Amino acid sequence: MKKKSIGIQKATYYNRLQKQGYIFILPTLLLFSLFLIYPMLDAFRLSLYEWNFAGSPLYIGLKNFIKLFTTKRFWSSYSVTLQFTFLSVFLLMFISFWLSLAFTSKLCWFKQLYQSMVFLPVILPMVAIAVVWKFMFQSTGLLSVVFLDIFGWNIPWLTSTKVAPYTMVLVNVWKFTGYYMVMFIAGLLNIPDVYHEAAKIDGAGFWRRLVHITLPLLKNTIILVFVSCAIFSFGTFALQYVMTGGGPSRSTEVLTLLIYKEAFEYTKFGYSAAISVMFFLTLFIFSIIQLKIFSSEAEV
Amino acid sequence: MHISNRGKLKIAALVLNLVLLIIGIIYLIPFIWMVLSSFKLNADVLSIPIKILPRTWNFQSYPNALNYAGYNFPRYFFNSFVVLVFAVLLCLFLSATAGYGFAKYKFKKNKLLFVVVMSTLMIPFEAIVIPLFLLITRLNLQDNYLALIIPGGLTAFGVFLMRQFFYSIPDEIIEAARIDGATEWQIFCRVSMPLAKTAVLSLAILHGQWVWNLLLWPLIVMSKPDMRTLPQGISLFSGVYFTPYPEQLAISVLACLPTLILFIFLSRNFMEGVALTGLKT
Amino acid sequence: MKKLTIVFVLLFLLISISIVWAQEEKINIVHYHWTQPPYDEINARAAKTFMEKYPNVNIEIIFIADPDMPTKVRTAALGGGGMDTFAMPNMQSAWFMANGICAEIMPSAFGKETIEEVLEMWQEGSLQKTGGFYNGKYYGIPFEMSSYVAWINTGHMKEAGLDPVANLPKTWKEFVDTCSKMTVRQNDVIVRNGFAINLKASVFPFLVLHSFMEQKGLDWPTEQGLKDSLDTPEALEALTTFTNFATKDGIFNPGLFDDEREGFGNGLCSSFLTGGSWYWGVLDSYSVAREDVAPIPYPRFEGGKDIGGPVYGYCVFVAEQSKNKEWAWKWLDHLASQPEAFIEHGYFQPRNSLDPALADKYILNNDVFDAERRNGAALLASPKFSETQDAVGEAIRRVVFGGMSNEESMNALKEELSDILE
Repeated sequence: MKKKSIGIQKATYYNRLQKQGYIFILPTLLLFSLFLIYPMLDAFRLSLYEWNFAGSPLYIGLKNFIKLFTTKRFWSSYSVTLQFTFLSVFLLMFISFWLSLAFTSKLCWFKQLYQSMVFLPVILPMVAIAVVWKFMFQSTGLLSVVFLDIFGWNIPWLTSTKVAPYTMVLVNVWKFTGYYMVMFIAGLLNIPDVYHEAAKIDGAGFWRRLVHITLPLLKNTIILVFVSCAIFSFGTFALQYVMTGGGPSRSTEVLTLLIYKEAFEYTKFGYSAAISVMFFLTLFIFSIIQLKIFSSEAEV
Repeated sequence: MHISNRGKLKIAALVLNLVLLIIGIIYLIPFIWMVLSSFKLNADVLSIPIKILPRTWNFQSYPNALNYAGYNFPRYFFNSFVVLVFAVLLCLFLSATAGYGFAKYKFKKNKLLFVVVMSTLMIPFEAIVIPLFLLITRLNLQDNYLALIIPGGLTAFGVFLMRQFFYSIPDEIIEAARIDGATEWQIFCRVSMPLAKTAVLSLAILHGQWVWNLLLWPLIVMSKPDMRTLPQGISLFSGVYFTPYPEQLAISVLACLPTLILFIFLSRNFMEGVALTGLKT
Repeated sequence: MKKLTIVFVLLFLLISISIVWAQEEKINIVHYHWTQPPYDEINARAAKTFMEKYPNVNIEIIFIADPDMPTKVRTAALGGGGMDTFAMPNMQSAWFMANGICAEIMPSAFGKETIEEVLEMWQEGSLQKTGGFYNGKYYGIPFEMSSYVAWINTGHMKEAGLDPVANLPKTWKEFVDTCSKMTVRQNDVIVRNGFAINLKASVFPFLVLHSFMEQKGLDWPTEQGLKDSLDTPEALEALTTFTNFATKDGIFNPGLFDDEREGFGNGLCSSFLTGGSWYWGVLDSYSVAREDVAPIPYPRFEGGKDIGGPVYGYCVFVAEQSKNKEWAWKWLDHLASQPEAFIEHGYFQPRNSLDPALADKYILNNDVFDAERRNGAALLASPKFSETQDAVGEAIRRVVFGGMSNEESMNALKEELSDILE
């Protein structure tokens, strides 16, 4: 029997040990592949066909994409989604950041209470939220009346193509502020107080501490919030589906809604799949750009 | 009159807290409106001028809602609950094992496979609905709880969160257990997982609220009325000819309750948990 | 480890239970129908009596919200969801008939020998009007035939100083006049609509505009006729008349409420154009009383054709995938043979067994409904109906919500439709 040197024995033991990792990730890989990755690849394949769910699919190559690129409705939906995403990300990050600062400040008395109040919308079902906000936006609803009586403005929340997109952002921000606030709070709690104490002793005021201590140490959290907020907002569905159905006049018709309509109302499954491909590619390019910019910092 | 620094601080604190309270209330207003309106009579809900408090308290809306038009709401609650429990359990299992595997083992292609898993975040659910639906029908799982549980338990975000957390567990503890002769699985269950309690809890809450709210997927894959989930049920209230607003609001309030109660009891642990997942620098 | 095993065992049990659940030994017929109180009970009763008559058959009715019907039935039909029979409105049924989802009518199940004999069981031409006929073949039996008439709140008319009989509008100009007198404002905001319609669900404005176009002499029931009509000045006039309700005439504020059947019933609007005789039954659950309401024929255009509101209907079909077609048709025959029960609520089924006197008895102003039903034109029967209807709805919405001009919107519609109906 050959005797392996201790060194090599250690090495094989080490390798075997590390290989155990495969077992741990196996269930996830299997299920993700079957139920997420495979359907996405199938959607890619489907985008090259014309299919109305009855009968067999008809291969038409890139025709769906050509149609897509030359249809106003697609580009309009794309820009609606982009506009919604930009506004939501900006407002959500801004508001949740400042709230998280406020809620972790020593001056704050009822931290738990405030945090819970702001987090509440996150756990409420979207359907219920849509019902309530729709009420409040009707021209005799709470918000319309309040604004009319106090400011004299008659705001067409959901009936103007110019106002409706902003209304959607408003409800979206209301719903998810708490979610990102919690992430920021988590990040803030991980900054040891000593840093701030030391800085204060050195005479640093609020703003200096913010810029030189808090923000740099919060970098990972900020990146995480930015990326997840962007991806999540881009894929918004339930809010628009329940509140406006894409209206008025397609002004709130986001990409996911268009994907749904083309497939389930117009039975153009191939075309719908093509739109999904564009959706995926957009996020893919976004992720790559984001990785390139932040790759030096993020520990991904 | 010279206000001392202490005094300035107190005033600042007062102003801050007032502002925060107002903000908190603003966030609560829609919810309060929903609860109050669920107790109004149908005609009063949208009446002009606006009535904040119900003119007559309509407690009937709740019992009415539960069995409105033969919709079996207790059953929908049950369905949503079953799906929630199992989907969250599945999610926790997958995220914990995968997160641990990625964090603690340096096998070949670790990074690559992790990126592959993370890439699923970019897959819009609406895009895979049709292929997924076809897959489900091929497996003959439509109108079956599993059709909701399995897709509902898959989230790359959970894997990410748990991996972050497991990074923070010192390798020495694991080494020590290995020296003591424990198998990897035993180490996972007896050493690493107990440390992960709060992270697990936060993931459960974050993912749970997503599962509880599922609308589109159940709409497509569940046609038998008995198998409907709660959000589906609520959307049914918008009748073609007649929308019973108090009942619809009552059901919406009831739909919020479970998560609300859980949240109130667990919120402290929850916030800490998210913090402990080590969103460190 | 223990916890995990428990979880797996539970999952396994769950799977096994759900499989066992689906065990049946009788003949099972699953029927998809839209939900509409109070008519759900009548349909449920039909299932019960059928099962009593034939104990070896089990009927299960699945009630679905109306707007969801096409999608759900499509999914059930093609996902192998075990669907035997279903109901479908005539706008949507063409897709199902064109794509082989429906089985042809089986005369033997009705105790007849030829299809002509089956047709004699219903009012002449009703299968075409209710969407049971496509490309030369018959697939569905009628379940409802309705036409829209104009409904006016005579109580509001009296309030506005109008005579509730003499001042009933006969032309669209008069209609707008009457409605503006009944519109109520508070601080410049309309709090009671003179007229209202649900612009969100494209089907409603499409149906009304369809009538306008027909009245202008345009051929909308065919795809070619529709496309050709868009170039004519008459089409533009029709579109403008309709959009003016919201934009120029000041009688319609879409933000006040979504559902005009509800708004009218609650006294929040004085007229609407999307109700059939079945609306009497619905009105009873609202605050406005029957005495204060009058259904009248659709106003006409001066110099336009004498055509009333759109005629539409529902048929019930047997799915091609059904394994028990004969029983399925027997069940549908039974389901559709309670016209007396439906007529009590004002819901009309064109079955010849229905005593015409009952219609007069239960439908107030039946002369109006009857006449309009005979005068209305059949609707477009096309598998591309959903997209077409949405494009038309969008053309209207662009003007009302987006502030676009009627000409521009019509051009955009032309583009979209040439794409859809190529």
